[in-house]
Amino acid sequence: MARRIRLAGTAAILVPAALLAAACSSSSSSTTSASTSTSAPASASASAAATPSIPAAPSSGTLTETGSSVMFPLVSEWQKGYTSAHPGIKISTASTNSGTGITDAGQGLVNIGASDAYLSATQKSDYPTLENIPTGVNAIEVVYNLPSLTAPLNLSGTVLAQIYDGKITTWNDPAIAKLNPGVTLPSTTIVTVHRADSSGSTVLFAQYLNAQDATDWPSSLVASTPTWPKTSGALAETGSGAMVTGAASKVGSIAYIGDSYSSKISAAKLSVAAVLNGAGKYTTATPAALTAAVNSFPPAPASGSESLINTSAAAGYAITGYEYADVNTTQSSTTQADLIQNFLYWAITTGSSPSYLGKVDFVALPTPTFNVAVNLINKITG
Amino acid sequence: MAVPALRRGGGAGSRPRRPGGTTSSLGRWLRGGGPIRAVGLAGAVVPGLVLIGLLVELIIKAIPAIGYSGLHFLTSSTWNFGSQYGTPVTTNGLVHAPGEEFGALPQILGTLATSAIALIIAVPVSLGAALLIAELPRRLAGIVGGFLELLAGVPSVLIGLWGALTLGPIVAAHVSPLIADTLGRVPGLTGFFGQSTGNGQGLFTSGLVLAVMVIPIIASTSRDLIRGVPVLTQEGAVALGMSDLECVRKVTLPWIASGILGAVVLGLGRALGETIAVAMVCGVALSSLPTNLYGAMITIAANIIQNLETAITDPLDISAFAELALALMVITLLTNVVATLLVRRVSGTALPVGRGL
Repeated sequence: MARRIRLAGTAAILVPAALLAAACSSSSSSTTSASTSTSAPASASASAAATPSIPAAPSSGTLTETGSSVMFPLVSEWQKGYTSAHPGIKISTASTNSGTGITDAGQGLVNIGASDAYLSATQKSDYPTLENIPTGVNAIEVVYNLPSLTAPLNLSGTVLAQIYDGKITTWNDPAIAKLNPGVTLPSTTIVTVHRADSSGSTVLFAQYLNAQDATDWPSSLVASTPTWPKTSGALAETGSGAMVTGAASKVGSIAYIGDSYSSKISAAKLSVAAVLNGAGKYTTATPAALTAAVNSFPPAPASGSESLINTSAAAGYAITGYEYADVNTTQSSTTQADLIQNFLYWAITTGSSPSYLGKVDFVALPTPTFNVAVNLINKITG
Repeated sequence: MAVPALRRGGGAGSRPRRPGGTTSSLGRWLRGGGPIRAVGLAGAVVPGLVLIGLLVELIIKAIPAIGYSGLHFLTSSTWNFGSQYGTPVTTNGLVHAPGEEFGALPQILGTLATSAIALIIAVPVSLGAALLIAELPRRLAGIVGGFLELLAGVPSVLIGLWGALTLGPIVAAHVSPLIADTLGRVPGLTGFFGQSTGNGQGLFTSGLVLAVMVIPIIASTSRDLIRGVPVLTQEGAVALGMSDLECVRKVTLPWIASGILGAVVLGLGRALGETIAVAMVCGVALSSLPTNLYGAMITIAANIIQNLETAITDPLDISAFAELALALMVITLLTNVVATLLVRRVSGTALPVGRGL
């Protein structure tokens, strides 16, 4: 009897959630903008068709998460929102790095491993039951510390690759000047800042450099811990927060940081560059640019693994990617599996409303990827 | 089992017992003392077994990487975790990312260099401190010595944090430029001490942080050793008209030389294996040797903790990490053996006054 009531309660919770998801996804999909207001509930019921297998949250339980420092601010918000709706649930989150998220989730040390990068082939073969579930769309921003400049700089993948491999060493290099006509560049030495730990941000950034300039940034340098070419005075930092403070500590520095750190980036008086995309346009990581980027790619495959780098949409931002929750589909108990499923479904519906994603400048999943995510969530069992 | 039984039954004293018959004498020893001896024996065997087990495990794990890299491991400066998103390749039965390369020279040299810097700074400082504490009035000596022991107990992560947040910036802003302006101007030393003074994360800061951790070990051991020098001998030296300095140089230090060497080895062991504090201030330069004293570098231990998450999903990376661990173990064991030999040589000679007063 009690179970029946709980089920009814869940249905009551899930229906508005599904509607909200449809609202979110319809706002982020560029095709058939507001043409059919009736088709949105239709697609909601299509995704709602999969929802009956999303179980209710157990009355008490603990959920553990570690990984991506880019995703950490969002997971902290989710923690607050979800636990206030489910007072019996405790969620522990940790800001480490994507590599830790993947391995800890794969080894069963935590329930959810957050990662900015999808699983590589080796990681898949190491952890066959680990699935990467898309939970949102984020961007990596290129920031620099040049207080003398006011207008944002334009930077391309080639110039960034040559900065990070040591070919360009000063800010007034002709290659940078060429991208920024009319800007008086200082002769300050460039200090490159990169992640010292196993980072999904590094993967996305390196994928972008490689996509734009495979000679200066060969595919052998696309990894979570690439062999950084030697540049004079380079800084290596652990975690996104340390990237901000590291870049702020040296005038002339350049760094790549997840857009969930935007407020900290501006508080540290760092500037954000406009980055060249695959269409030859310079854009910054606005929500509209992220949406344009994600919509320019084909729908995510069933595995959820898809690169959103170097978009061909003119308005799109070039260094974009899905944020992933890496979850082992075989959990210790049915109750634990129920909790994870319920939480993740909540995260991509209620937790993907603008009041959550707006704080970290992420955008919600487009409808096809949302459905992929729901299917992946459904795979989790006890 | 049959042999001792036979012996026991073999007539009272009719056959002379072999004095060195290990099995029988061990068996007799065990039987003689009751269960406590068996427990003691088991306890005594465990450390040896653990060490041997560790070595065997590391060697087995490291074999694929040893085959993959060969001597390259010791001579190359390029460490590459490979292209994670490339198509995996198979070498010696291990599936791994393409383009992996394991040149550990920077890490091995980094491990040795940071420890060397730490000892160069710590040994004179510790000896000075120990000599002074031994001369101080008892109550004051207790206070100063107490601080020394407190410092020895500070967790290394705190020292690392202090190194990264406080010491590093001070070194970058003041100490490194000062050294570059003085030693860096001496002809011949410009390359190592001069030029770019870095950002406070690197070889020099790592050495300083290690020195802070090593000083209390060497100083408190030396203090106890100095206290053990017989007063009569020192009084004799003073009676011969020696000054304080001469007394220290000719009597105190030679008397405790072997003990100090032992203390230095203890400190060296700590410095070689120190992980987290160095990882926080070394600058994490995995694939390049520092060009000068201030450059970013990495040690074996710091690499293992910093990049384990990258390596753990790739069997060949893990094998290379096992090889690194093996290298660190060999370095530590070698320094221990060399030190033991040195201690033996020093304690065998160079004592100007007879022992056992």
